[in-house]
Amino acid sequence: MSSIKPVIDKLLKSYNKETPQNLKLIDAYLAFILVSGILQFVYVLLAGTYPYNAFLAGFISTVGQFVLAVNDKCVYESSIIQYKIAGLRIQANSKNAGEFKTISPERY
Amino acid sequence: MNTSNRTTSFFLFFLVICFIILSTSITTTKAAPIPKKSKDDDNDNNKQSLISANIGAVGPLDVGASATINSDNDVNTSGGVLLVLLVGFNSHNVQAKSATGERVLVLLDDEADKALYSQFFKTLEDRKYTFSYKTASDPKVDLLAFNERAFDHVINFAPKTKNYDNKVNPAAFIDFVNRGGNILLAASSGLSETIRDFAREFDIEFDDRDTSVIDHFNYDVSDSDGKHTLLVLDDKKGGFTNNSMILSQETLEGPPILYKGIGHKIGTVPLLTRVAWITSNTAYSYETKEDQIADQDPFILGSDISLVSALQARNNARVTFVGSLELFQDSSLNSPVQKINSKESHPKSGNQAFVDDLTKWTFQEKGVLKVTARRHHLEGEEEPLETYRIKDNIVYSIEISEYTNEKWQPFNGTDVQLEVIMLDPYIRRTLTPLEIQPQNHHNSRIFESHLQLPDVYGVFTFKVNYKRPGYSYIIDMTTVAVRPFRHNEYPRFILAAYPYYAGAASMSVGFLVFSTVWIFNKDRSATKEDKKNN
Repeated sequence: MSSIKPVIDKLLKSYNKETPQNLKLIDAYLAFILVSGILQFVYVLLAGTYPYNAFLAGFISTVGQFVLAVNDKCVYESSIIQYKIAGLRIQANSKNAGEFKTISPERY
Repeated sequence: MNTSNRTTSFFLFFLVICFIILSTSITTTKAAPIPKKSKDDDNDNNKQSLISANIGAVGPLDVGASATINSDNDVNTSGGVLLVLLVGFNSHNVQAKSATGERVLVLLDDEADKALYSQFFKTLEDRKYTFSYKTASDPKVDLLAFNERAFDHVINFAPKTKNYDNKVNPAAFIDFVNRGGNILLAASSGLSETIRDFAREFDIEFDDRDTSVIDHFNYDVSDSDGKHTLLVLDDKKGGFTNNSMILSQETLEGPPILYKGIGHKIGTVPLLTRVAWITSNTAYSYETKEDQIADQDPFILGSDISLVSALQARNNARVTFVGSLELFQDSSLNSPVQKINSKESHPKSGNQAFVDDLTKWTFQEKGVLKVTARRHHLEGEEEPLETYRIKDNIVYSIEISEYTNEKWQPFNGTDVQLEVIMLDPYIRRTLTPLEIQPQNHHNSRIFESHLQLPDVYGVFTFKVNYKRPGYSYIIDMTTVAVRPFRHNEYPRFILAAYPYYAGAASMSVGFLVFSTVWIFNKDRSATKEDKKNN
């Protein structure tokens, strides 16, 4: 336990210092989505699956939001066009700037 | 012939109408005036009975007319007088006390045998039955005429006739029963194979020819030949059916019954009812010849011996088997009874009452039920729907009347059940008998149930399947469709789903808030880097 604490401290310190403010904003939003999804999942375990459609709608909306906000880079290839779809957090990260040269500056 | 008869009836009708109007106008000064409404009712009744009388005059094939006349409960005096006049005028229109008809075919071994049963036939004639007496071997006898039943009931007192040289054979009797005819069959020790075959069709096995039921401890004092076959049936509690439709309470409380004849064994067919059987262990069924060597076990012993059994077929036709012809003979009906070694003696046997009960039940004078109406509708509404929705609250009711004492009356059962069936019964519910309403013209009682349809859609059947021994069977089926909820009939919001609604809504709101903050956010460090890059 004592060996983990300095690791966490270092992680937090490093996060506070080196992570840009806009990425922290996204992380806060992600945390909110995560809590909302977990609460709904706990509720369905306790209350049962009766309005199952409602559960699916609520839960999948959190999953969707989360994925779009954080998603890893994925590439869809077809014979005509090559799409690059990636989550906001990955695009906004300045360390990935080389990957997304076509992105407009408004996203920063 | 028919036309003239009808014309005469109409003429008579107008005459009597004139007479009523005239007498009303004359009697108004003396007696209280007849209320107008009751007079109108009166005329309606007259018309109705006139119509039925005319149908009755068409020919002997009419069956339904009896119900029309008998059902007119509220005929008042003048209507009654008119009715008597009309009935008396149309001699065809004699109504038997049976619910199904008055034509009886009596089959005898010999025409002269009729005299042996004169008292029995007299009581039936008093109940307005019309008889055709035939010998069983008469080549002209046929149970059918133009492919319809020519008789409503058959009394078969011809057990000895072996070869029926006509169309009347076991198969014809079965066909007669299938067409709704009732049969009263009496056997004796000299029972022919033909009758035995017929009885086998009903799961009844008579003992061999020339056997009798013998009991050396329970015979009548008048049985002096030492064979002890004239039995005294006095165990009214154990040896007779307690079904009040078949045997009345008076018969069960009355004097003992004399029985002399053959015994039979009944099978397992559930439609069969044992009416009378042996209860003493000392009785057995055996041949009664002189110098009889007892080298075989009896076919039936003790309480296995059935004496009288009755069957009601699925089409409500009734067939009664009696192992004794003597039971119906004048000599037995009027004979005194005294059991051997018993001081108790009765001046007259209970045979008359027993035979009356048997014929009343067999010829559909008792225990006849019919459904006069059935209804179903939504709770709080009146009109029946072809299609209900799942979980609808509905009311189902059925009206049943019972034929007793020559008229249709409200049925007093308490165990009528309704089943809501789609392959399997989804709901089985005992219907509540309602109080008789005076405005009910069906002479019936309403059985009702308030129920909620199951949460399953499909084609359902409301089935009342009422089968009780002694009563005619009721199977009444109504088919309705049950549909699922329409898309707009579901509840808009479900209480249990509010966390999910909140979750989805928070995602939307969260997205808006985040987007706004994101757009107006100025990240200094990012801007610096951008400047450097640019």
